[in-house]
Amino acid sequence: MLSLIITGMSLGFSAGTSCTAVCFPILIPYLASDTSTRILSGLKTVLLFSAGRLVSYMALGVGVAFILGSADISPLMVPVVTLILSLVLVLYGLNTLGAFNTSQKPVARACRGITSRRPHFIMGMLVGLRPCIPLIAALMYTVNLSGVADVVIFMLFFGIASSMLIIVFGVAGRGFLNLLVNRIGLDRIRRLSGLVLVIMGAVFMLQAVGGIINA
Amino acid sequence: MKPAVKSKKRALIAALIVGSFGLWWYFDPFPWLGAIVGILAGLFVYYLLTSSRMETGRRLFFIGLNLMVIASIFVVIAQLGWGTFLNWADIHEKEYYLQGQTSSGTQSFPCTRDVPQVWLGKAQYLDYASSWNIKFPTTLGAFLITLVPYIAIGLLFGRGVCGWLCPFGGLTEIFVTGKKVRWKLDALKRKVNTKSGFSYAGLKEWVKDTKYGLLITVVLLSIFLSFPLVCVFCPVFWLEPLFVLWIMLAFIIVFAIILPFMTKRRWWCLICPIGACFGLVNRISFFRIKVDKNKCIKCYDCVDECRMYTITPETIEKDKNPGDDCTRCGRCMEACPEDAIDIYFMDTGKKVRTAFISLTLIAALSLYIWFVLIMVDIFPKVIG
Repeated sequence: MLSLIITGMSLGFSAGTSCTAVCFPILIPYLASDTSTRILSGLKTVLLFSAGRLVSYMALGVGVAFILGSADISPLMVPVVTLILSLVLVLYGLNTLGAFNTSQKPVARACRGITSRRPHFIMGMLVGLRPCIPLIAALMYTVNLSGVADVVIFMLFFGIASSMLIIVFGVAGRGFLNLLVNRIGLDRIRRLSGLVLVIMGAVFMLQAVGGIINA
Repeated sequence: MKPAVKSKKRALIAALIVGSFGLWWYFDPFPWLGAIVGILAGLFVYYLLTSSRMETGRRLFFIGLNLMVIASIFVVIAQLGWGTFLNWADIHEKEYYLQGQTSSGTQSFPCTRDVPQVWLGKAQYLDYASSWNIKFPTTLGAFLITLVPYIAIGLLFGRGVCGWLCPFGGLTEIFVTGKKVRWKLDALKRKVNTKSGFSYAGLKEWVKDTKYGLLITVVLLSIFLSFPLVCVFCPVFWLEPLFVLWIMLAFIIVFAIILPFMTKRRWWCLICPIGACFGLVNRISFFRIKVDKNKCIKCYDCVDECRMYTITPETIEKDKNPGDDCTRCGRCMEACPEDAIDIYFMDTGKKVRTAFISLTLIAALSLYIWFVLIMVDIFPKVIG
């Protein structure tokens, strides 16, 4: 048990920088779109985001170890998850920009309803379901584990360790954003974050469609 | 607009300085080229400083730079052949972030990333091979050093780069030429009531912020994809992943051709993330456009003529500098009937149009040597 925890955490810590590079570009505009500038609110967002990633990691670990039997994940999975993520990003970005606020058309109302509650946990889950190289390495390790509990514990500690830098940078990022808010105003920060989320979502959407066609 | 200098002696001195720089910079590898460039550059600076139509001269120069860059790419493709060109494009990208390795030098062709290496003396033109021998920045430190010339240019000129030096801006400039505004796009503009009752202003905040949104996205996606996304703005890059080519072509058609032609405004520059970088340092740059409120008669001719929607009635009435998007193109200066607008040194009252034009031309001569050599050395060989 202890060796599992140590191995999971070691792998997680070594993957931390890479995980931060992957998650940060999504997390920062997402944090910036928040109406609250409190550090605690930022911490809550990052924790829920990281919890979503943890759940995805554990689900992937169990799926790979006991359903697939190898780390050969379907080539369709990543583009499909990316497509869903891109839709969430675009809708959330548009909502931040106030695109659905005034319209009473059913589609706009539905979009407003979907994005009115900030989907921290779901965003984290979607990001976690896009395996990067360190995660694939962790998943390959789980194939050799014997019990579900072992896999869950291993992936849990891998996820916790790999989230540490994200949490630290996320909170620091919220602090930095607050400095910017004082300088250029919350409205402008939110407008910029909305734009970034929409553009980034559009880029992911292109990437996902390309991936689906290739798969 | 009155000429920049009343004394022709001063214009002559500026022309001699720029001409001498051209002679020195282009002397190696071809002394005859140095002589020609030196004479032409000197004459052109003299014309810009003594003519009342500085902006027209700038526009022709700017469009000429763009056409030369486009022609250079085709010349290189014709010289190498399509397959070799694509192979090279592929290799030069991958060589980018090789940590801790030394490069013995690579034969290279125009790359905005590598142009500063000419400045830093790291690139050598091999006239027998008609190409540059260059050491790519193989470490992050080396790459950061190559950024120094760009940072210096940004601090000196701010978005003046977008009005005088950008290799792409000339394309938009072609299509904004003319007076007839077909689309007003009032929905994108702010309405203001000024003392004179004039209700027209620059762009809405969210439109102006689009370029900053794109800049942040480019930086974040570069981190996410571990790829220097600035290369996405290089035409060479577009030739390989075809979907990028189609997306960029669509952007070019809409923002560099249709919108500029219909609105007579430089829309590409209004959304350009690289322009946004220069916009960020616009307020601390050395050369700034200012309106002399003692001379201004509030006719708002400059507001109508500004290609970037950056001079507004508020700018004039509240005695503010034009915003982050001012490209120092000089169009407002040419339009002003009272000569109330000029280029000043920072926030002082010192007019520095002569220094600005001279330094801009020196920067252009430095940056575009790569492309000039292609046109004078490789092009004749390609056409046999």
